[in-house]
Amino acid sequence: MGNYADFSKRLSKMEVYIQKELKEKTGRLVFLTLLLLIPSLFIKTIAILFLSASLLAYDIRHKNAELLYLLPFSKKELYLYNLIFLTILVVTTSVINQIFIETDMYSRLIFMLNSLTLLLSICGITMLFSGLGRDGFGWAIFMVILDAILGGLGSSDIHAFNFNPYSLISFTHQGNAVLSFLTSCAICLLSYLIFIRKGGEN
Amino acid sequence: MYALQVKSLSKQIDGKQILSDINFAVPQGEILALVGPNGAGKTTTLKCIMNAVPRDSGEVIVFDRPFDASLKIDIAFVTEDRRVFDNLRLEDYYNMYKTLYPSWNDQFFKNFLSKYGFNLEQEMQKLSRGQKTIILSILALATGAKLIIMDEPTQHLDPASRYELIHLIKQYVNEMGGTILLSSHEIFELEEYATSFAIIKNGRILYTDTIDDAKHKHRIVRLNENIRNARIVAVMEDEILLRTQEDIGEYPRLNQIIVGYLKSAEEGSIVSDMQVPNE
Repeated sequence: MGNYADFSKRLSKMEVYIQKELKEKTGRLVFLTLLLLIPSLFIKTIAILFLSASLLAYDIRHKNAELLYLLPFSKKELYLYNLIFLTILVVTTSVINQIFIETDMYSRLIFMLNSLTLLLSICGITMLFSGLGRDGFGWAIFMVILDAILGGLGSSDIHAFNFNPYSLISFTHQGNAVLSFLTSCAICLLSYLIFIRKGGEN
Repeated sequence: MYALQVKSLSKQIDGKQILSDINFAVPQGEILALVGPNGAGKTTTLKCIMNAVPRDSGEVIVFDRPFDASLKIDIAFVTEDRRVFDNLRLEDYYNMYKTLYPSWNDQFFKNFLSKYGFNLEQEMQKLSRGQKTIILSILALATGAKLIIMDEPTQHLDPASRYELIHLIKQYVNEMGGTILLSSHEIFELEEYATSFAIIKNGRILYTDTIDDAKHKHRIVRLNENIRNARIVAVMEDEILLRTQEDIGEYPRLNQIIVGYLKSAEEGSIVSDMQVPNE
């Protein structure tokens, strides 16, 4: 019963945060969600880049996050609510994408995994640099370009003479869907830990 | 029992020491005013208490527990700049606060809504600064939080609204048993509602005490009067503020004590008479 009450309380807090974001940033959220509906990983990368920079990272950059910190939210909760909201947007739009594409279930799952990999990496990088007091958006753009260049060098085929191991874990190139997803999870976890540690929470 | 204890709080921003070894305590059911000039560190202190600005060192104890984010349901905050979320209506704020604060007092909020003629459909960012001050204060008071932190609560208010807000603050403490920590540089009105005070300048607490005790511990004497067993706090035109309990001169007013300490040549020394208990 206690666990259910706690879960319900957290759900209500998340709803408050998401409603605040939806009302405050309606225009850009609608536009970027429409972009996410385009079934192209390149467009998705750009849309996720802007989406990640539009939510909590935007508030941090414009000193509006203090308003949230003064309310009964912990920095851990805010990070997670931000990530969950973005995940809902990316997964929902990816599912809608896939409805209109004739392909097998495996390809659909891989597309979903690709989308999540992009989200976890880009959101992770944006929040990591925001937590360090830097420009999260600027650094995310730089890291996406760097990753695309490094991941694009050579081949992701392990038997090829110009095999590039980085291309397997690159979040833009995604030579190996599972390895790049796991790397993205690690980036996101690191970003979470730094964000809460720098924010003065244990 | 203390609602809030701040111990050895320090904060540097961009290499500048903004707060240095801040110590004070707010007893439960009292109103403590943090007073000092602009840029003294009042707002940073209040934000550090809530961890909105992470502190470099020091400890914040709220209701005998080290501060953590779960305690924020018992603390409401009114910011100095009255900044609000863009595009949110008063109704959104109402729903937000009602959900986030478990002890929300709906009746209290609605009574004041109708009294001031606020409409739930009004966009918060379009309200005047004075209206925002009133509505954010009412939202804070309606949370039912045990501790309310208000940064310059009476700033930008017309005299009638100022009177009303001071009445509400006193009512919240006297009838509802709440505790208030507020910052102000309007020293002439403090005696109307505060029970204790802490003087802050250049990020350091110069003196903290209850108003009554501070008056008993100080005297104002003329420049030519004979002074014995007293420590000179400050010379103010033709008067001297002394720290003594000898029966000389006159009891000072609160604003004289505050101005005296702010002018004091010994501003580097910390004089604290409200003991912060060691755990």
